[in-house]
Amino acid sequence: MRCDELRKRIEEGQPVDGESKAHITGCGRCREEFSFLRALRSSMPEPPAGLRARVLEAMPLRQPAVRWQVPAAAAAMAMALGLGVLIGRSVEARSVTPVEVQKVVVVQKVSPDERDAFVLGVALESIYGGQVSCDYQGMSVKKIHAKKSVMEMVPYCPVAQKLEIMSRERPELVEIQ
Amino acid sequence: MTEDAVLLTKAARGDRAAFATLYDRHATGVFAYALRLTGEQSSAEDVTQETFLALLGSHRFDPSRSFGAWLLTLARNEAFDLLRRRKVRKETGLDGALDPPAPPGTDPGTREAVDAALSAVPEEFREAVWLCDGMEMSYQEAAEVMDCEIGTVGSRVARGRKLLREQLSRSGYAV
Repeated sequence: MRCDELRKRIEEGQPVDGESKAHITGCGRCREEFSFLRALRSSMPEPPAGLRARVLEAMPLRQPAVRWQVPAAAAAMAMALGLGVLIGRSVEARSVTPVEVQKVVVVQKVSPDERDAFVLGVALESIYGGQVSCDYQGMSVKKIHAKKSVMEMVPYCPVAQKLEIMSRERPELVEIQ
Repeated sequence: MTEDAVLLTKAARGDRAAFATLYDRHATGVFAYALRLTGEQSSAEDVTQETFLALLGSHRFDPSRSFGAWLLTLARNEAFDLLRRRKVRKETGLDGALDPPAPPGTDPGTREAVDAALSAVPEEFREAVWLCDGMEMSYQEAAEVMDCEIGTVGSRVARGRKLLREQLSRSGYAV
């Protein structure tokens, strides 16, 4: 590659490929002229050391630190009914038998209150299995929960994850509107 | 399925070690890009965190696409969301300088000089130069991140390089 060919490639916005790099390395004039390219590649600030721990701590937990036990279908029904009042018919349970769930309809939006997401999870888990597992700390990104749909909560809420998995694997049971 | 996609699947199921590995592999790029977009250390940290948490929404990832490009697309969305929320777009770098210009006489090949000059280049060109020449992404990947055609990437890179060199020249560097 000649110097004018390299210059043309750079000026035309073509990628700096291996051949171009090899020429820049071996040509003192081009190395000086296009030193900004090398500087760009080295201009990569490292994230602060503490950020790694912060991000990992914010990862939602699958195994909850706090376990909520709702043992019976009656409790599940009560919770679901209470939830309906709380978040305005967000959940419609057509069958609340712990063993055989027919269908649960979840509306797209929940209340802006992030607690609703938590309560929603508690109720739905209780409907599905009579056991509730939800980690409030795992939902630590509270601002994201607010005004988000159930599907958007999937990364942050184990219950929403379960719902999402069920909606794919057993669509006859779960309908996400 | 790529190694990143496998790690992502594990992380989405709660595998903390897989999540940590993904962070270690990509945090530098995400953070640098976030810093370039927001112009602020604390904002870049927030964007990095939100990006990696959003990453766990694995159902949205198309394994046929570039993982790195998809990750930076998430970072870009998070950065723009943050800037919109804070309504400080003009003050935090998208329309203004990230850092004060480097003093004349500094080697134009240094990171500081190029950083200062690049901050004065308009956002769309700066971003293209940063992704393609800084992060060495392919033009296809950069097009995915910037949500534009590949040809547009090339024209933005050309324009961005020209503006960057002019800015360096105006600052007293011989380029």
